Amino acid sequence: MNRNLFSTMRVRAGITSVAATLVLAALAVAFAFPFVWMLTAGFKPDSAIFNPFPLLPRGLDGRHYRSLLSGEWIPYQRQFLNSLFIASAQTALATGFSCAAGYVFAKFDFRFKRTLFVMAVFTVLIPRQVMVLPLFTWMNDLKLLDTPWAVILPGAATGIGLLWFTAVYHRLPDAIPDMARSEGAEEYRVFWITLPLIKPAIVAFALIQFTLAWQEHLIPLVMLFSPERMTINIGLASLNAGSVRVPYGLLMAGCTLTLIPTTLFFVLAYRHFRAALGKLTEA
Amino acid sequence: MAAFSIRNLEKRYPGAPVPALRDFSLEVGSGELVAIVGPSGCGKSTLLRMLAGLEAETAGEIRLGERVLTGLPPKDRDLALMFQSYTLLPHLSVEENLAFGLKLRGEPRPSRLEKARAIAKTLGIESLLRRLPSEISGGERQRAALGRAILRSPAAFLFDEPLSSLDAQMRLQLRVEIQRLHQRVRVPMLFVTHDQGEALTLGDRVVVLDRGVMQQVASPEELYRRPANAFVASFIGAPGMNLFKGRIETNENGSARFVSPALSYDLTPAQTAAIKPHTAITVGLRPEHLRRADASEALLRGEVTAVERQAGQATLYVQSGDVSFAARVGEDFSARPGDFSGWTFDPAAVSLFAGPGETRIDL
Repeated sequence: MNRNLFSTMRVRAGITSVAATLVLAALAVAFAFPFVWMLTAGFKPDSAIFNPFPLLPRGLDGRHYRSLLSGEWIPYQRQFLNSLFIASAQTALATGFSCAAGYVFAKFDFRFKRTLFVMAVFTVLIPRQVMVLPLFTWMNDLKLLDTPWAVILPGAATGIGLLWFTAVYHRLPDAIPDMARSEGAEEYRVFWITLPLIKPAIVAFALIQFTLAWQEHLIPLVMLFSPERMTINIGLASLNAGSVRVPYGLLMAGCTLTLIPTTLFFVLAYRHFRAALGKLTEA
Repeated sequence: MAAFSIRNLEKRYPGAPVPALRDFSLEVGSGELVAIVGPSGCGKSTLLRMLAGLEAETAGEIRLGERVLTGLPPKDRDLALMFQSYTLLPHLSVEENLAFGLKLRGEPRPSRLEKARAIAKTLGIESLLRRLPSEISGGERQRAALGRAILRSPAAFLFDEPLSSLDAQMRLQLRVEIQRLHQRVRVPMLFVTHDQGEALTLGDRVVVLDRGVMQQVASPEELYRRPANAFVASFIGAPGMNLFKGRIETNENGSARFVSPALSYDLTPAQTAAIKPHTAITVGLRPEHLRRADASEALLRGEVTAVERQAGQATLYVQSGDVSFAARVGEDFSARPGDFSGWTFDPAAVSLFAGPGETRIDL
């Protein structure tokens, strides 16, 4: 090959990679910047909040955090616990129901199986906004309005969960439940025995479910009225909307703390999450 | 110990035109190992799954001694089932896997782990007790699965092709292990396989199944020497019996002669007496019954198309017109693909099959 041509190609390849790096770096900054701002703004006095630079605050000013946790604006601790309870309960119920239903749909034959499966899939396609009003009247009839259950129950059964666990259980060889049966397990025990084999899939689903439940805005907004029953994102949003003078520092401090559970869950579950996307089961 | 008794067992899947298993009856004595062999889709696994209670039968009855198993859930049948695929639980150690059946039966942990260690010793896997299934070989996994089955002393053993996913050497080892178990434990055993060689080596008796219908049940030797029909003849043996389809003609002297495109020969007096003239019949010849012959006395001629060498012998595949057959020769043979070869045989050694099911004509 011509030497000049070769070096031209090398230069071109160099330019391409430099350009790619620049673009990616710009994107990374664009994504990271709001987070950094949020993290630092919580430690800045209100007067300095709208000036992102200097990025790092001069000394840690814990006044926003103190005022947030004291509950003088919103019952922050109470709402944080509400959110934690609602998201955890919903995750536990949704994962449990979906997992059991997926097992049944994948491993058993029964009448109207196809029809029921298609119906479940269709629920995925119906937007939340359409269901809010009927759900509200149901919860009213059940006398559950302004209780955590009005938020937990609508998310406790999901079409996506059924799809996910049916696919997962399709990949689990039939020989495993058959082995358990012939070794002497009751039918319910057989299901129990399969659970450790799909642990990555369970953890991955729970992670997504928890994150979605933690972020849910519409359903708690409609179902809950009293401030001490609100979830934390509605509480934080009320800071933004309700007052004449929006306490931005406080808001940023609240947002920072609110990110902790999902981040923690993600860090702890990441290994399983990756395994689930890889092979779904351990069998 | 109790014997297995299967009566008129039948399985029809909804929407399937023919039953997966039809009118199947078999007695398996205690201490007897019956191998069930057939091509894929013959119904052998369906049969085993019905015995284990994993699939409901359409009709028929299964008994084990005095107990009627039909209708009982798998856990109450007290049978051990060994699968083709690996069924050790991946998150449990070998030790815990071995003790799994006892755990389900509520046996306390120290005593079940002690039994697991004892069985591991007899199976030669005691060094693997702490390992996870992913850390041991396929043969060791099946060995552990066998141990798990043995451990709770079931009333009968069912094997669903447990050796099929193993490499040749492992297969041999585990086969010996199963034979040892068979010597030691006097309970009925059913062994399903698609490998006729495995069936002949393991089975006290062998059942040949095809398309849901039992073709023959006999000792391995009987099955090999006197196959009940042309299907069994061609399925048993590696390669199976050579089959020649032809007709019976009458010679001028009154004796009968078999005529087919590749092979024609005069029947023995006994064969002549057993057969009506002018009927279509099938002649079966084992590869080892063929001998090399000069062109002058050869009854069969053809071109060698392939040579398969085994230890101490070889199999030649010969093409004669549209018909191909196999011949077993000693290791001192001299033939290469493309060679022309002539063959002869003892007419008394042939099997004759006639009628719609190509059933054996007994002489």
